[in-house]
Order: sequence, then C-alpha cells, then structure tokens
Amino acid sequence: MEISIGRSLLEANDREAEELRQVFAANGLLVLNLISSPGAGKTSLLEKTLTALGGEFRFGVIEGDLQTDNDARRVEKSGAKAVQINTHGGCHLDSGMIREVIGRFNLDELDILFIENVGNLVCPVEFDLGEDCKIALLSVTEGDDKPEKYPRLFHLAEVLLLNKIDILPYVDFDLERAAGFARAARRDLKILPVSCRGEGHGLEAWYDWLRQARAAKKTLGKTTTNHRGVER
Amino acid sequence: MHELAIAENLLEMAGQELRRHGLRKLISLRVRCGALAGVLPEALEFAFSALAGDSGETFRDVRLEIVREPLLLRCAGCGRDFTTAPGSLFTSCPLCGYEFFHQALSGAEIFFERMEAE
Repeated sequence: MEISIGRSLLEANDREAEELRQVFAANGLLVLNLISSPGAGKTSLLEKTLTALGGEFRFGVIEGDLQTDNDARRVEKSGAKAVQINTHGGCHLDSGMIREVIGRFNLDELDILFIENVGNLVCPVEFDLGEDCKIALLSVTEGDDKPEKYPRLFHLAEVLLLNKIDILPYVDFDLERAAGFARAARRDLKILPVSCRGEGHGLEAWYDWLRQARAAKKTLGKTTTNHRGVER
Repeated sequence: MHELAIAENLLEMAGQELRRHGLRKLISLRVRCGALAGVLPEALEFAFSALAGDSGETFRDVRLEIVREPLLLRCAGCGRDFTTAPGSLFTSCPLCGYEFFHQALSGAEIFFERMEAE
C-alpha cells in the first residue's frame, strides 16, 4: 500500500518552537540564538554583554554544551540567571530542550534571553528554538572562507560578529573577504567586528544593535527573521 | 550529526502512519532534502539503518530513498527564477550572470514524501 505523507521531518521541532515563540512574545521577551564553532567566543561575548548592560536590561541565559556547567557558572558571575543544558553528545539544542528548562526563569521579569547553542556551525542551524534572531559568531582564527563553506548559518543570521579582531595582525584573515562571502549569503546581514578580550573593542555597536532589537520587539512585538530563510 | 534526530522523527512518523492504517510491515520510504537543508544523505541513511535495525521486524530491510532537491533562487539582478545544483547558494544567474544576493524561494525543506507498507 502506497501512503502519501507530505510532512516536514522537522515539524515536531517547528511546532514546539512556534509555541515557545508565542510564550516569549506574551512576555515581550527578545530571544537570541547564538551559534558558532566551539571556541569562537560565545561565552566571552555574553560575559562582556551581561556585565556592560546589566544595569539596562534583565538578562537570562540558557547554556547548551555537551558536558559540564562551566559556561553557566561563568556567565552567572555577571548576576544574570543562567540555566545549563547538557546534551550528552548531542550536536544541537532543540525546542523540546528549551521548553524543559524555560520554567526555571520568571519570563515576565526578563528583557533579553540568550540561548548559547552547542558549538557547531552546521547542526544547530536547522533547529528553530522559537528565537527572534540567530546571531552568528566567527573568530578570525577560523579562516575567512567559513561563510562560503557553511553558508546556511550566514543566510539565516541577522547579525554576524567577527570576533577576536585584536589578533588580526597575527593571522591571515581578510575581514573584507569574510564579510563579502557572508553578505553573499545574506545581503542585509549586519556585520560587526569585535574583540571580547580585555577592555573589548567594537562592542558598543553590538550593544546598540541589542538596544534597537529590544525596542523593536517591545513596540512591534517581533523582529524580522524568517527562520527557514526562504521567501524572506 | 543532527541526521540522527531527523532519522528518529522519520521512524516515529512512519510508525504513526502504520498504526493509522493498521499495517504491519514497512517496505520503503521517500524523503526529499532541499539543497540548503544541511542534511548529508549518507549520514541520514546510516542513522536510519542503525535505528531501524533496533526497531524490530516492522522496520527490517526498509528501503530509504533520499531525493536531493535543487535550490530554487530568484535572481537579485533580473528577478527571474532559476534552480541550481545542490549546495550552491553562490551560483551566478544563468540568465543574466548576476552573481550574489539571490533570494531563496525553496530548497530548505526536509520532507517525508511517501511510504510503502503492507
């Protein structure tokens, strides 16, 4: 017997993500899904951001890692509430994992929720978590052709942070070339070169973007991203 | 590696359909993967056969067919639509040569199209 199905294999995840999105919207919460390779500086970016803007916004953080709660402990030092998810080998977070931990936050007492995904440039991209935007991070030690090799993330992300620019003199990374590939994947991609080391560099532009995105979410109820990246 | 999660969904959906139709043995499945979907067919096949092998007689020797869908792009230069070979988001428009910034119309789906069972 032939049976015609016609269903997305990600529909269970997408359905749950949509429910999460409504919960987040009801609380006027801006939710950002942070995606990069391991070691690109996601946690360092969060430490800097939460410390700098802690007086301005109430932050929550969900940390996704294969093992350990090292990252949750790192970001909690800023005073933000952090919850760790361990995937025990799983290469990405999915919306069911987010739903399981969301009850540990008082969502109506938060302004911005960061979800730090498992370090991986491929798998996390396919799983909608109910976020407003995906934020991509790429560090200058990784090679400037990464957006060409892994275009899907850069196609879907709203912002690309090019991190570790303080060590640009010591690596063969061409900022313009990386930006060119990334913009080819998404024409209106916002590209911000930053360093999260020491005093930090270029982070004011990122903070301004956060302020604008938060204000847009509060007044319009949504930002712009279509998370599958088609018919945008 | 997220192909494992996708293979789990595939088996679960197929199981639902079998129960709904009162069928006992799955024979074949067809899945369509868009070129932008980031799914490696070999990895999906491997994950599926590993899971199906542990799921009893119902799922033994199931034939999994994975069809790669091309990417459908709308040219940023001339506005006409064209398809590209899998994986090439950066293709020039074959009609006007415009290089980048094309809009993706489809090609991001991972789609369970049909199955055969008895």
